[in-house]
Amino acid sequence: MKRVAWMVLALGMGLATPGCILTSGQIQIDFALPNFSGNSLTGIDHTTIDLNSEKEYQDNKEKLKDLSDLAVLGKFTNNSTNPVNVEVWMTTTPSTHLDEGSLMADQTKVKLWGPFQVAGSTTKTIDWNVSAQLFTTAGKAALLSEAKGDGNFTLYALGPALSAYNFSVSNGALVLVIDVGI
Amino acid sequence: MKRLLLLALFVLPLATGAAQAGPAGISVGVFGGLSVPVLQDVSTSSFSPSDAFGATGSTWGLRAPIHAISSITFEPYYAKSKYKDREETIGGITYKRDGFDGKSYGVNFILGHPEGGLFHMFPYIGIGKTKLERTGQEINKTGYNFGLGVGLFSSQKMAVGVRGEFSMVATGDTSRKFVGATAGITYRLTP
Repeated sequence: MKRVAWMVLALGMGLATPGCILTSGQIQIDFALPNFSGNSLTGIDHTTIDLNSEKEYQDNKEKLKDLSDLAVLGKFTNNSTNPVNVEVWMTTTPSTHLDEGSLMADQTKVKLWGPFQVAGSTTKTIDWNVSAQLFTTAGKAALLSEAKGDGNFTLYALGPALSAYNFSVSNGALVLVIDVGI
Repeated sequence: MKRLLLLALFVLPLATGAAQAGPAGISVGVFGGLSVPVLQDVSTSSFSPSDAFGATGSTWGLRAPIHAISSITFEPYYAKSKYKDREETIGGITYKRDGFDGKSYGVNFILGHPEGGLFHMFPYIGIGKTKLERTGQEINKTGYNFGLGVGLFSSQKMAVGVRGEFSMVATGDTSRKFVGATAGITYRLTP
């Protein structure tokens, strides 16, 4: 019986230890994105995200260890008759590029997500499971670095290089599930 | 890690068995029950204590208690689990995220004997390898567990018991955690 008491005591001490892997969790943070569009003729939209604007991020930033799950969500409308493969890029420092060429010349650009194909003249709501698969390894690393850093970056949505496209995205959201030590 | 587990699974029971004068008591059993994610994918802005527990999943598997020395029973196990999908409305649209499918194997170290009679209690700790998979995410890491079992019935060949367990999969500095309750039945191959 004494051995059982020691085991329980040891486990209890482990549970109570701050920074122990036991005292951790996965916290989901949703960032609403404004409606935006991408057009190979008239230019691309951007949205600058400041993670610090979300209280959940602020409260857990110091305890953040990793990104557990990610998703770009929303309703994608292809305004062209041709299919489009939508990609999301980010610049790790806030930027205001208005066309694909200047974005590609940015040294801090990283392809974050995609391609997500939308057939011509259709609207498609992305599935969370599909979206989770579309993050690039470099994009995940850049996002983790931003989440651990100043939390300030810019997102762009665009179609394939040197092709004609015209799409818009509504009800958009960037979902981050962060691993935090409690 | 794999080597360590294999060592624990096979060498330890044999070694301890060899140190004993008598043969090891070996049983095989099946179990099934519930498993609930703890503090996973929660939203802290609208957090209430009940949100700490995710949707109840199921777990089932095989165990083979090997009672080679008087105070410890070694119990290799293999388990599978299935967690429910989660639905959430974000930006006015309802999305579904897959729940994890889990597989794990390892060994439990049980203090005493798990095949006692009514209300016979036995605490245990375990270590193993756990794989959690869902679309776009895979976690394949070392898992740890501890719990308490209670015997309900025992005869010469059969034993029935229930267990409450806390388990976690270490993911670097953090972990994915679960609590569970299972019921199992074992059949003694050797006394």
